[in-house]
Amino acid sequence: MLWNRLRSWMHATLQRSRLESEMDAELRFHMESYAEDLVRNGVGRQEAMRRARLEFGGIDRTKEECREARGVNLLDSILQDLRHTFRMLRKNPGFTLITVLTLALGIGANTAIFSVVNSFALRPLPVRDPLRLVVVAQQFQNSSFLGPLSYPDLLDYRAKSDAFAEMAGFSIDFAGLSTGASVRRIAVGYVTGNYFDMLGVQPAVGRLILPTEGQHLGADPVIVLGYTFWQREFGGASDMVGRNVKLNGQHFTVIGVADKGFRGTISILELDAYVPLSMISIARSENLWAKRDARGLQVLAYPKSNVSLEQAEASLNVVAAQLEKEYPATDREVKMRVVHERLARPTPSVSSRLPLVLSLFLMLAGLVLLVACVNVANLVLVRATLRQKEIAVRTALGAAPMRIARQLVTESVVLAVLGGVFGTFFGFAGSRLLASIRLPGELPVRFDFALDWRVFTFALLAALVTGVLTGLTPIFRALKTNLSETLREGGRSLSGGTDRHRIRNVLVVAQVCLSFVLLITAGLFVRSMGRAQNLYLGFDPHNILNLRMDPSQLGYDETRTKSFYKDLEDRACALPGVEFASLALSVPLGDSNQEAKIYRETTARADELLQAFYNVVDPAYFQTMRITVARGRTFTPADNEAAPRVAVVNETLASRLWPGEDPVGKQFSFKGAQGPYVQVVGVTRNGRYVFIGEDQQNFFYVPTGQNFTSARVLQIRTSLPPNAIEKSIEQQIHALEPDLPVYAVETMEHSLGGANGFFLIRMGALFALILGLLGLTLAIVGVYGVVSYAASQRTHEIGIRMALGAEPRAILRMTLRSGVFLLLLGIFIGSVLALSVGWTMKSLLFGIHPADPLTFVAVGFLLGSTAIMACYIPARRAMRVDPMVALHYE
Amino acid sequence: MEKQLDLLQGTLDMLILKAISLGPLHGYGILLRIQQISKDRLEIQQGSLYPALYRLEHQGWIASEWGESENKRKAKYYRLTATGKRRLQAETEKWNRMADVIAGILGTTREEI
Repeated sequence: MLWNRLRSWMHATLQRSRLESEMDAELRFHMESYAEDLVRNGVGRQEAMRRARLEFGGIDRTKEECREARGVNLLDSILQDLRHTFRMLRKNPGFTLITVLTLALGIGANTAIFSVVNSFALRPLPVRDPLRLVVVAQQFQNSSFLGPLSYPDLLDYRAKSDAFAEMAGFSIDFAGLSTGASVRRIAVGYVTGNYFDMLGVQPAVGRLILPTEGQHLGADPVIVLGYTFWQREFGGASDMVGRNVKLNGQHFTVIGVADKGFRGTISILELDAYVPLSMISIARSENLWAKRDARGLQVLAYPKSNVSLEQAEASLNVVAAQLEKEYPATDREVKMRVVHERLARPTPSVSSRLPLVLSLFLMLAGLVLLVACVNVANLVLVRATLRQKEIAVRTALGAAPMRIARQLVTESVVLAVLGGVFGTFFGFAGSRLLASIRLPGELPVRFDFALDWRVFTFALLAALVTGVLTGLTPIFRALKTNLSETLREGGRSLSGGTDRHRIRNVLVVAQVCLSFVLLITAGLFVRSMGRAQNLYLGFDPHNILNLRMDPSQLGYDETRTKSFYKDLEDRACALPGVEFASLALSVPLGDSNQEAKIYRETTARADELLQAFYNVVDPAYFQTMRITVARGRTFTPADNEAAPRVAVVNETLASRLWPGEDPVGKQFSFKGAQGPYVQVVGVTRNGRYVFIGEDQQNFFYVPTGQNFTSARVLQIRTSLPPNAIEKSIEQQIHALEPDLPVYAVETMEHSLGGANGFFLIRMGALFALILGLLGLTLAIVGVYGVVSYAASQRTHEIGIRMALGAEPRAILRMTLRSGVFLLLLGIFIGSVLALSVGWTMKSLLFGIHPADPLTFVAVGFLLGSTAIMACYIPARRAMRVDPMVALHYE
Repeated sequence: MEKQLDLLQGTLDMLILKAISLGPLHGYGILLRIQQISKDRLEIQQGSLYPALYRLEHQGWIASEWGESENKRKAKYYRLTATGKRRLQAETEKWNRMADVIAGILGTTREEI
């Protein structure tokens, strides 16, 4: 049955012309036979033919019904609609250009934003069964961070929990890779042996690290290169495999290159190389291998196929309880968390802002598209009004209302698809632009906003929804068209009809309202950025140059490193234009931080523990950074290994540890309950340390002289512009050690643009501003279009009024009044919407209330004045109408 | 001549199938055959015959081929297919049952209730 129909349909579709001629022949045969019968009964030949045709009924109608009966018609009429549409679009290039461009802008903005969402939250990692991959993390009581695990803990969880098929860990660090002459600084993943095997990653060349490798500390000095790194640095040379290279001064053998698409397992970072975790000692202390409180491993796992996330988490917590009993000193108050990898980007966290940020911007982009839709709907509506006579004639000739509606939808969908195609190009350009944004700092961040099938599907869906949305209004109109009235009016109406006005008015209000919301959001972000820029950071970021280095990458021991840094600081200070120079472990609001638990001598219970961030600095640090000391002293060269251990705390930490007491002279430990304890010698004013949006951060400083680190950042306060001394300071470093890689050379101000600094705030403001202005432009074009069209429709009426003696000013008022009323209504509704949007994004704002009056007044003024201009121009034109011309119009 | 009856909705298909079941016919022939066996008591709009024929062929109940008519002209002949035969049977039974039921209802007198 189905086959029959299909065959008949195929037949009909493929052999159109034969079918048509057969149908002609058959119907002609019928009529001629009938006519012959009539002739035989004595009717004249001409009269017989006439009666045959008459009694047969409408031939074209019959043919149409026959085609429909064979199923030809659907495809046929769609093709016909398409042909009609393209003819129409070609005939109206202006209309086509404006609608396609409008939709392309809307769809392009959405595509670009969606490509970001895709890369951050949707695109799976190129690993085996990526949707089942989970992140295993530890949560300490009262902490909002989901932290990494220690290696001994990972081994225990892997061995004792039966909920997982496999569990692997990795840690990221930097190392100096030397292949003969030059030293490259690379981002290295220290991975457990089963890492590649578990993820199902294939080698591009050679082999990858095996599950049997990396079992014992110091074993298996092998290195796997990342594909991009291999291509970029070694031109994809296959003879790299088997080569001997040095990593932080130690010998390694290159065993292979990871698969092309594989960039590591943190979605926005790209690693250059991978070595077994057993070689961790080349980068960090051996503690990471052996100690339970050295938590530095990100853990990935696949739960067994019949195990849910909750069951997996419960199973890990059973093990956690055992470990707490066994190792009370290190594994207390730990809760295990299991999160889908895609929900744990970029790092697992309890309350990530990322979903909020991403959905907010998707929503804003959606609003822009909506404004674009409203614009195009309105243009299509205007055209439909002009075509009302055509439509009425077609209806009168027997076209079904659905058929006409389909024609209108076809037009909208074609416009939308064209808009979608160009929009995807815009989106592509936009996402390329976004991907080219470089984060300051040293993380190997790689934004990959490449368009994949998800983005294309999204763009297509956006285009189709747009098509249907823009097509709806004209359909609505077409179905309600009053035939006789339209035909009688001759396609022109005196007053335009109240109904038509109503739809168009709704569209204007929607446009004003949507663009108001967009502009308010943009305004809040911009104001928020302004607040953040002027924020007191606790230090003076101007005129500071940062340079980062790590002599252990050349195999320096502690003594040699110390003397190197001493010489470097002396040489730096001697340079012209340098005021102060100091060394620290990290920069404030940078990529890396150190966190510790604070023990007081009086600490009784573990849940009283405070978390605090800290930095290791030398005596000149406070002068270089211009940090204000509130009480006591800062460090001196005398605070060395031989002297009593000391620390400087900030006011927040002081007031939390010793409320109401003088903190100077008090003691605390940041290395466990056993100490060593350090004595507070000074208190600094509060500042911002870890994240620009933080509030009242606990923070303390300890001296380099008592806490050795090999990697340090040299910070130089200059009297000249900092970049001017960049060259001379690098010369000094290389005079001391020619091979030492120096990286992250940037001014403090530049560094503050990083992910923990102003990056999000600035990007948010930029994105919101672009979307807001896009929305404003589209809305203004829309309002202008509507008002000027309405005015032109009333030319006749205006002519009569003026002929009857109306003042030009009265005409102007009359034309303006309706526009201004719609504008005010739109702004009112927009304010209500904007307030609710503002409340949801409250946590993203910085020192700005979501109902910030200045923003609302300024945006209202901006939107109001541009919209009134858009109304005024056509109103003025209407005012100048010559009554005679207007009355002769048509 | 008796007044002609308008065709009941949906019965044209059945009549076409019946007409062809008595032997292959072209479109005009089908019209004549129906008029003949109905003794001219049914009014059929001539043009409406063809969409019905195309629909029936599309559904596979009838098949068509070109042949030569009585007056030596090319004409398209329709014949019943096997499924068409079954369909006609089923339709006939259904119609008879329906006619019985309707006749029964319409013939009901007051006493029978």
